[in-house]
Amino acid sequence: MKGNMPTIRIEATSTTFYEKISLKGKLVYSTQQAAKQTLIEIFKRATKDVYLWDVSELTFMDSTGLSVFVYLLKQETDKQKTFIFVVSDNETIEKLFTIAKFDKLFVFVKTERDAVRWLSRQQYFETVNG
Amino acid sequence: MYEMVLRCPANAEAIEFCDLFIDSLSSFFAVLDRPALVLSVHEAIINSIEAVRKLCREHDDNTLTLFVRVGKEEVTIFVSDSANSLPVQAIENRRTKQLEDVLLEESGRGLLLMRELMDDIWVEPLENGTYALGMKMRR
Repeated sequence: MKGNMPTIRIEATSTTFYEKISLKGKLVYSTQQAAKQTLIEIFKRATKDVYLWDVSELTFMDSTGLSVFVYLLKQETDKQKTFIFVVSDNETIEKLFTIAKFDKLFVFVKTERDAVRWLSRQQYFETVNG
Repeated sequence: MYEMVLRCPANAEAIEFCDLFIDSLSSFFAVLDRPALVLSVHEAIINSIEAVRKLCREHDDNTLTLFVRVGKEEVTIFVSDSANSLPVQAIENRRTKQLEDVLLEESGRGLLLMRELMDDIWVEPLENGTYALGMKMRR
């Protein structure tokens, strides 16, 4: 007997200022281990200090999914990395991040443009451009 | 009042099935916070699967039981498993802990999320001497 199992799709692109990682599908108990491995590989290749996570198409996430971000953050603590989450209109995921108090660890914005504005306010671009 | 009992293998497939089951049920009975109910039951099922995985042998009857009661004003859920390892102490500890306290922890967030999302969670002694995790949400 085999039912439908959840899936997750991860896409990573490197822009001038940040690494953009899009997560689509379900980041849950059954997918988190594979997702973590993929993300570790992406992190190994990454060259920027900012990770922009597009979670707007994440349809479901549980506590094990949340833990993936904590794990990755803990790997990067000595490297001054910033995680910015783009939630768009995904209220369910945004609510979960809020309940879990992740706003104390990460930056949350509605759109990628908001993320760029946030980085400008932090004078991040000047730092990158020297 | 409706009552349903679901007994299934304690494996990852059961999580997906129970998600769909609770989601459909919440839709049918117009539960106000459907995503919260689905996630809470999902977290309880994960705990059961992990307990069975750690404590039961492969050839044991590794099952979990989901009981749902839908009343006029609230939904009550009980989740139990063949490992019967319900960490009563862990639940008691979680009563005093907050999600801020586990911010950088990679586990132990499930019960705290359930407590935030549901109106009540507790340990329910069953007739056969085992325990179930009970939770309640107003419709």
